[in-house]
Amino acid sequence: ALIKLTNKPVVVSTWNYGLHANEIAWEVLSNGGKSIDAVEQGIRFLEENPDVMSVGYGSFPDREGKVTLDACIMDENQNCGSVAFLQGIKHPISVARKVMDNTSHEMLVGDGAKQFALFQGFRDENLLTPEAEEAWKKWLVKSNYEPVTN
Amino acid sequence: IENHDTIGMLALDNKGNLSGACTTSGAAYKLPGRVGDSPIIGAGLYVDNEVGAATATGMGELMMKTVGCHLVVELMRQGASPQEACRQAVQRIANKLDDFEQFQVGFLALNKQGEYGAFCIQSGFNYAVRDAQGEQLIDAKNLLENKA
Repeated sequence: ALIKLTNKPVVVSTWNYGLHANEIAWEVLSNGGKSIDAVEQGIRFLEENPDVMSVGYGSFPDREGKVTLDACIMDENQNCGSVAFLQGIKHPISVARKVMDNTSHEMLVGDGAKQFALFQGFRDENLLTPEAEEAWKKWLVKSNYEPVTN
Repeated sequence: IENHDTIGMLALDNKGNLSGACTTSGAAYKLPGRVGDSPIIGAGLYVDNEVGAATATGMGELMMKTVGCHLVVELMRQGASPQEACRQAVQRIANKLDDFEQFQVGFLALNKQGEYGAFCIQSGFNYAVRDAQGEQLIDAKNLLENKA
């Protein structure tokens, strides 16, 4: 009988930015590292990049000009961590990892998530770049202030 | 499309263990307090180390009401390949919408054997793969390409 070999290690990610994120994750995987560390490192790379305007630092804000971030992470043992409506913290994926590793909860949101992040040593930063602020102000001019379904 | 490109990532390591991560700032100019699928286990991300992992992109509200990524993993458990599982999940979402062509949802999946696949409603969703063969950027199959 034919034995089908497992293709490992392997990393996949969404969109073309994923190519860059995969390089970072591959560094971890090809050195025998754990998949949970690979995905966290790969995602962090994009959260840091202001050119990726839908993730982390440099993101488009909500309609009031606030950047609010959501993220979750899950490992091979069904351990999960999640944050939502988090503001002022550049790396929500790493805060989600800390929720998973350092608490008995699975999800923290809003001010509570931020307080937890600061307690864990994350820095409070302005995530709204001049580029994103300009795009938002442009949007405000024509905004009909109705929920957009796109 | 740049308005809602969540980044989701799935990996299988040397020991054969699966993990996933998902991050986003959500829809641009969303209502204050709006949360999408990305931080919701089962909707924007799901991992079962016996079977596979899935992540999603596109309109979060649609992924939440179908618990999309949990569905993709369960379809793989029933024997579907990663791409076929993603296709069936997209089809199920489309079936519940009169005007599904107006929306974009995409799933990306990786199974325990290191096989991967994706599927979406509209063309334009692509995904990146890195394994021992090198790196690739692949256009996901979509629901509209076989029409008309």
